[in-house]
Amino acid sequence: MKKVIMMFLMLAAGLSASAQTGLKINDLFEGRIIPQEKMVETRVRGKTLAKYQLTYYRSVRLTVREEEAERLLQLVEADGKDHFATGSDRSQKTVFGKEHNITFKTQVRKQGDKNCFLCYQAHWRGNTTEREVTVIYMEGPVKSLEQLEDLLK
Amino acid sequence: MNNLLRIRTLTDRFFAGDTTPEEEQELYDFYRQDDIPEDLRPNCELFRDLAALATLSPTAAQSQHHHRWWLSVAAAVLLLIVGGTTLYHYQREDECVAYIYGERVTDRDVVLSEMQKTMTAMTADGSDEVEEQLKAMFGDED
Repeated sequence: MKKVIMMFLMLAAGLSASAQTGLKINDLFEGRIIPQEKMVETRVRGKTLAKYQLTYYRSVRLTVREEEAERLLQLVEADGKDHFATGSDRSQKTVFGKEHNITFKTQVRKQGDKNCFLCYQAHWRGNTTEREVTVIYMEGPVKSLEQLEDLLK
Repeated sequence: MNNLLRIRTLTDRFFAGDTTPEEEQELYDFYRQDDIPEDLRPNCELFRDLAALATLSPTAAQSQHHHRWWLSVAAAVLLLIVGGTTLYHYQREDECVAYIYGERVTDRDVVLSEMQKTMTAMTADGSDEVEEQLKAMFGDED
């Protein structure tokens, strides 16, 4: 009987686990790095995303200090490295010789016909040491970020 | 005569699994006698054995009763967990929500606009617009 109860509890726990569980950046989404009151979180799931060939979208947007922005980038890069990655893309833009933003995009998982992507972007906010950071987690049948970019056009 | 009719009915109900513990005890008492009608005799051995078992372990029935009670409670709890989880996931199937600095927003248009803005900014690297504005303001440095 205990075995049956354990089995059902594990099943319930498994079902309730969030989609990006297992990723290092999950701590950010769950508010364990920056309080959720200090960020804008967007969560969309279902038919609405069908036109982008996605099934789940979750993003957070927040303003942090330079060091925190760097730490978040390291987490995203580590997730790209730890998981099956079909390719990562890191780009750094400068405006008039000054750094303006950093963008990092990677595939973090592939489960059957479902692909999972992680994107990070940090914008410099004027001459301050603050950065506006956006992290997006997406999953769905879309094959690559390039294909997703085409769908967004 | 009436008693025999009742025993026959109870015996049938026993094999159908519909008897109460009291009725089963009545059957044990009956089949313990010597003058059992011919047609009921084949059941004698079974009921005598069952009666012996019942007297050997009087707590077994109670224990089984407790076991069944716990089984029902566990089944109800599991049903609640599985049902609750299923409902939770069903509701999340078409989730569309934003938390703007801790404030929950469920307005579909606001959420989707925020999503689209973020996705576009990410895929377009975001800086193009700013770069264009700066270049227009100060001209190319080349």
